[in-house]
Amino acid sequence: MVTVLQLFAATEEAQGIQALGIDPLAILAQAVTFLVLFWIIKKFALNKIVRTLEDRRKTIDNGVRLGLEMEAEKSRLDDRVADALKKARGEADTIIAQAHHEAGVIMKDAEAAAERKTEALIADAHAKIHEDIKRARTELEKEVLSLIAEATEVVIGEKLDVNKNNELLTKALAEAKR
Amino acid sequence: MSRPSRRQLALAVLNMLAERPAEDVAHALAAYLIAERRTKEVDLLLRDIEAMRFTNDGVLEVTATSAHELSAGVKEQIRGLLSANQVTIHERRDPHIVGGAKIRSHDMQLDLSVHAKLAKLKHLAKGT
Repeated sequence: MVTVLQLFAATEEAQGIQALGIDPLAILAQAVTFLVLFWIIKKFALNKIVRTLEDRRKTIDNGVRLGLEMEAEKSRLDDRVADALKKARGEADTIIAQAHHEAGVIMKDAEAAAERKTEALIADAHAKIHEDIKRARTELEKEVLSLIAEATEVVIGEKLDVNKNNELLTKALAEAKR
Repeated sequence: MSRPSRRQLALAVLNMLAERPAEDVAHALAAYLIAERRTKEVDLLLRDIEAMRFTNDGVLEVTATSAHELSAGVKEQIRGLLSANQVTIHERRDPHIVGGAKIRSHDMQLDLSVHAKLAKLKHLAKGT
């Protein structure tokens, strides 16, 4: 213990800035070393690193710009799509309205045609009924006339004797001679 | 030898009638028609004979069909109706005639029967 203390006592005490433990030569040497190192790094690596970083920055900037452009384009496209949809909806509404109108016209025409056809059918049926009645009446008249003729034949056959037959023939021959 | 025509047959019959009795001629004609298978022609042949008799001799054969016997007056009326030197009326009975008479010669027919008139009425009724 005594030896160590003696040793400290024997060491020369530092003066000025050296008392703070700063050595200017060491600092200078370190600065030169730093500058040399900086120069070497700048010479061989820093430019490439800066260029690479600059390229990346540009790439990122381009990407951002393209993204913004795409967003703007998307917005425009959305607007166009919305316009197109609106227009298409309007056209569809017009077409549907027109189709409704045409369908209504067609329905009315069909109803009118059906009514006309029905009336014609009824008229035909009436005409046919009248015709059938007329035909039936004619047939009945024929039947009655035929029955009258047959009845007349029977009655005359029973009532006509020789004398009456000769009288009948005399008249008939006189008419034939005329 | 070709088959004689109906007209030739009629002429032959008339010639035979001038020489032989009508009954014999009728028998001979009937036999001939049966043998020659010409019986279907008998009506037409008789009509031809009647027509020839009328043309040659002015004799008119008339068939009067009626339901009842015809009186002499009616027969006279029939004769007066026909223009011929001689009219021979053959009477036939047919109850279907009903009344009146049907008079027929070789070239004409006069239907004055009630049946015909009623038939005409019926025909007209069917035609209307």
